[in-house]
Amino acid sequence: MIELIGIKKTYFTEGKETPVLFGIDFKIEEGEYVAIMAPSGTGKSTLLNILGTLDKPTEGKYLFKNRDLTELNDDQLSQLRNKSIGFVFQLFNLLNRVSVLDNVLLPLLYAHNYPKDAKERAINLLNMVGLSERIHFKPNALSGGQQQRVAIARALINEPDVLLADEPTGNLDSKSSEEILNIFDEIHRQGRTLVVVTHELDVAKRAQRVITMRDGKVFKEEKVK
Amino acid sequence: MNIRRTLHISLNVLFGHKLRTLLSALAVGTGVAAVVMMVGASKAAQNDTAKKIENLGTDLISVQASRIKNLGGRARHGTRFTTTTLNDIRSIKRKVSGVKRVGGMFDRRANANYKNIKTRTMLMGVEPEVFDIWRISAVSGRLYTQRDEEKIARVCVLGQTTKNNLFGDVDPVGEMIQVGPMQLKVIGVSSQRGLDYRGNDLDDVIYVPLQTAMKRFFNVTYIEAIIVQVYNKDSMDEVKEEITRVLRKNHRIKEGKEDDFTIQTQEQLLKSEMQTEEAFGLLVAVVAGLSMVTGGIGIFAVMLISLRERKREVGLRRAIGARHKDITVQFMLEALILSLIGGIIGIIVGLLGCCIITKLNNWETLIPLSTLAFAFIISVVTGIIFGFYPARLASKMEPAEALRAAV
Ligand SMILES: Nc1ncnc2c1ncn2[C@@H]1O[C@H](COP(=O)(O)OP(=O)(O)OP(=O)(O)O)[C@@H](O)[C@H]1O
Ligand SMILES: [Mg+2]
Repeated sequence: MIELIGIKKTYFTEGKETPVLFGIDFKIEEGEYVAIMAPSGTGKSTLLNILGTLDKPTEGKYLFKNRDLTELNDDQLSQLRNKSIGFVFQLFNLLNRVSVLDNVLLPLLYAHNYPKDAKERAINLLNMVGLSERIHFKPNALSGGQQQRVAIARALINEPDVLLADEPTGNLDSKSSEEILNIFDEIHRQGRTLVVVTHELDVAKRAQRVITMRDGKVFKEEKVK
Repeated sequence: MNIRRTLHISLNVLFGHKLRTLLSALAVGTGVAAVVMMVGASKAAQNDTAKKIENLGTDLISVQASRIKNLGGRARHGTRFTTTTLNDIRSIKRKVSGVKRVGGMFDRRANANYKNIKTRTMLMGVEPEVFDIWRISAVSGRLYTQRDEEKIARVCVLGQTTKNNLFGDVDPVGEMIQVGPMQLKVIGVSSQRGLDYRGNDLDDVIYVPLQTAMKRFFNVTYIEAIIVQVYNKDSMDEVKEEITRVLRKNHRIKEGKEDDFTIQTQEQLLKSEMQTEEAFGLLVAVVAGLSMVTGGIGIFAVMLISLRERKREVGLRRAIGARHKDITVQFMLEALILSLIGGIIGIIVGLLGCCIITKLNNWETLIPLSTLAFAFIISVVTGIIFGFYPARLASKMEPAEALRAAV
């Protein structure tokens, strides 16, 4: 479903070059649960942003469901993100002034047409993440773990092909982290593709396969289970 | 993009930031209030002047014994002359056709007192015909007549303000008052005339027969003005020309020399005044426009500042599928909502201000619909213009970059 071929990324800021990725190749199959492991500050977010089309590689080819994404324009990429990719961030990125329910519904704002059963879908998802009692709360009235669960529901509202998570437990205590990882297991069981970026072994070990990066390259790939 | 949902979210976001929203809305509101208030008040003033023209009568011509220059839109008396006399009034009556009534006038400010109550007022010597021309009647006692005029009688008619100043609620008819060096018998109180176009109280006055003023008070042989009423408004210009000819002949003015008097129709007199008001209206529009710009800058600044702290929100929206266009629309919508809230606040405050101004001036309060529409449109346009740049900035953010922004 996802294939990276020779992906390189160099940042150019204020005349300085910061090479981060030095040629990444890997494949992710449909329905797979993959963890990408690397130490802090070595380009995990960079890679995830490229996977999520939020950023463009400096070099290389990115095939998503056999489409070469380097050939799509900005609006097409936006639509692809809306339909096919769900994001979960370390800092949740919820709109604090807007209710939990409206946060979950937010991606539908940019969908081609607004589904009639939107609210029902959102409530089902909130149910799945165990927040059906909190749909009218504002996010800042929730704990970090609860906020991240709202973010997961939001990422799933458009039934994406793949869920991309950037250190989803990086800001959570171990109990909340465990809850999040259990939800990921559930999502995986339902057949969705998951890519989780992390520097924690405990988190990575929950995936089927771990891709370890070092110095901006794939260092090793191993099956966990 | 679903506009109804977008609106719903935007409203939530805006009302979540109450202070920020209120501040930028107030910036626009101030501008709109200024527009409504100033334009509304100046419209009411113009309307008031127009009505005063009607009230004064559009069939009147005034002859002033001076050259009146129009300086900066305001009438200024130039050189005064002593050549216009009672004889001129007789000539106009006899020789000029189309004249319905004529009356002479001579007035000066004077001190008057009744017992120990003093007032400073206008002593106005006018012929009795002037009462008819000005549609003045007696609300108590009687007005003086042609007989009183001929007898140079020591009688007077009090305007209502002067009557109130000197007598309060007491009926003054039959009492004697002291005006300057002279005792006058009060024979009546005149009906109310209200304010003139400059806001002077026309009822702060003591009317005396013209010749009483000329001979007993001021010892002059000339008069200051002649008021002429015509039968037919359409013949106004011919009457003016004829009066000019008659007066020039009486005053023995050689051909090519300037008149030593000024003839104006009541309408001309007030229209020159109206012009200053129109010029004022333009100034009002400019000032109002400037305050709109200020309001716009308010929106602009608040949007720009909020943009910095909303970077990650933009990043998130881009991540979940918002296109550049969607971000632009969202931020424009927010600017528009802000300016509309501001517009509504401004219209309400402006109308209140407008009411107060018109009440204070005793003008008729008009709800200037066109002004409201104008204010409304201006606030929408302000929102669009000043919201555009921040919206563009927001939409141009790189999603990865925006998401990396600090909280
Ligand atoms: N826009 C940018 N311009 C310049 N350098 C950047 C930019 N974004 C990231 N970098 C640099 O690229 C490197 C990798 O950053 P990235 O955020 O991908 O790392 P990370 O593994 O996600 O780190 P963390 O564990 O802190 O999340 C870092 O050295 C960072 O300073
Ligand atoms: Mg990172």
